[in-house]
Amino acid sequence: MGRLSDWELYLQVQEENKEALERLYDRYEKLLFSFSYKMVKQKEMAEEAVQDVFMKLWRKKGIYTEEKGKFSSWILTVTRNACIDLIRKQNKNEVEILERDIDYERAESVEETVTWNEERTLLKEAVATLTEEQQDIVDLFYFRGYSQADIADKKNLPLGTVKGRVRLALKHLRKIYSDERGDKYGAEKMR
Amino acid sequence: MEQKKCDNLLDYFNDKLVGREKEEFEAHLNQCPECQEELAEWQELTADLPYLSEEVEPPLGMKERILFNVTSDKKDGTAVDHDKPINQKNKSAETVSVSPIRRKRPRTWITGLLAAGLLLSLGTNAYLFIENDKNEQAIEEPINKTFKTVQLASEETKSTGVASMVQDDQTMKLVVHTNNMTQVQGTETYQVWLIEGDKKFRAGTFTPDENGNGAVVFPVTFPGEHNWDAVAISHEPTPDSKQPKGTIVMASEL
Ligand SMILES: [Zn+2]
Repeated sequence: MGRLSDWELYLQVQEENKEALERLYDRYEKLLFSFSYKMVKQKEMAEEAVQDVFMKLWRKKGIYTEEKGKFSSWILTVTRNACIDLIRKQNKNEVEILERDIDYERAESVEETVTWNEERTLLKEAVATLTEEQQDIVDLFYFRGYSQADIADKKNLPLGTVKGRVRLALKHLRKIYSDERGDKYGAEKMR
Repeated sequence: MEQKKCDNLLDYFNDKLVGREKEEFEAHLNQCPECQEELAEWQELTADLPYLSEEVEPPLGMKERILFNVTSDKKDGTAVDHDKPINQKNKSAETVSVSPIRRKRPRTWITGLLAAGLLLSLGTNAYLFIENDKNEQAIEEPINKTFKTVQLASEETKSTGVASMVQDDQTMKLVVHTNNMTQVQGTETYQVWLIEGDKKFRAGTFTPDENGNGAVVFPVTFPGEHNWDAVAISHEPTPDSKQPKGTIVMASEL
């Protein structure tokens, strides 16, 4: 049996095929959980985020179409929004994260995570070339989902400059990363 | 005015706009090619960032919990707050956790189990149910039918318990009640296991109350067909044991 594409599996999920849902789940569990954990910094909340994503996937018909781009990018965006939403609720309830689950275990290596590991290594190297302030800004903007006003506040920057700074940092990151990978895709995109 | 709308793009990207603000921006986005282009640019600039995340092992049983929660309750559309992931550290008597079944567990534990003098007939094939196949409802029993009940007792302590397989309208649940359990310390918990051949499936975690009573209600939703041979309770050093590490305190054939 050949490997079905994400899109093919998604179509089966639309037909309420639980097995297809499970296969998609298996494919993305580790990535979505790890990404959520990086954002919300707490395992229970990260699980909630992943659950929200699959809830949408299963219950909201037609939520994904191929026009929305690659399935993997799309589901990561949905995951990020789920995390931002949870962070928002958490702030609202003024619930403090008292303990961070820092004692996480390293995963057993599976075939598919090899590329992820490689990407992460390259990405981290690229991040290391940013100034500390740039790293902070990227973190606040992307992983904490701060508003422009909150970033301005936190970093003591004029509101009008926030966007430019975030963009500059991300472009720099992208360039270094693309150069590292040396792949045509990155080079083309950077023009 | 328009420029002001365009300025909201980044906050829209970070899902910071709510209610009318969000609707207004979306309406604007539909009309504004610059914002459309820029949104695509932000998406592209950030597309790789999730891969910066360190790999983190999902909590035990996350897969079963999520798939169970996602695919149940669908028809009535009610809120699923009670199905939210449960903090494994809370000392609830009904902490439910299910572990992924794809991990291979070594055989050593079952050997230890047998060595502990507990009689388990691993050849018994108590056919219990076929899980959740939407085309095939193997069991059509009335609501809350108790399928099987076994007594649990410890050889070394006064601990006793009862484990029942209960079929409610949709799922099989394993219900375990225990009495006179030895108190746990720190992160220690009692872990219930369903045993099939040499495989152990996590079937709930609990800590006893001050009177030594503890209980678990556990939806048995492992994918596939299972012939459970036994149920066992072990005393674990932490709630996170993927496979039994601690000692078996009680067990019974099913
Ligand atoms: Zn605009």
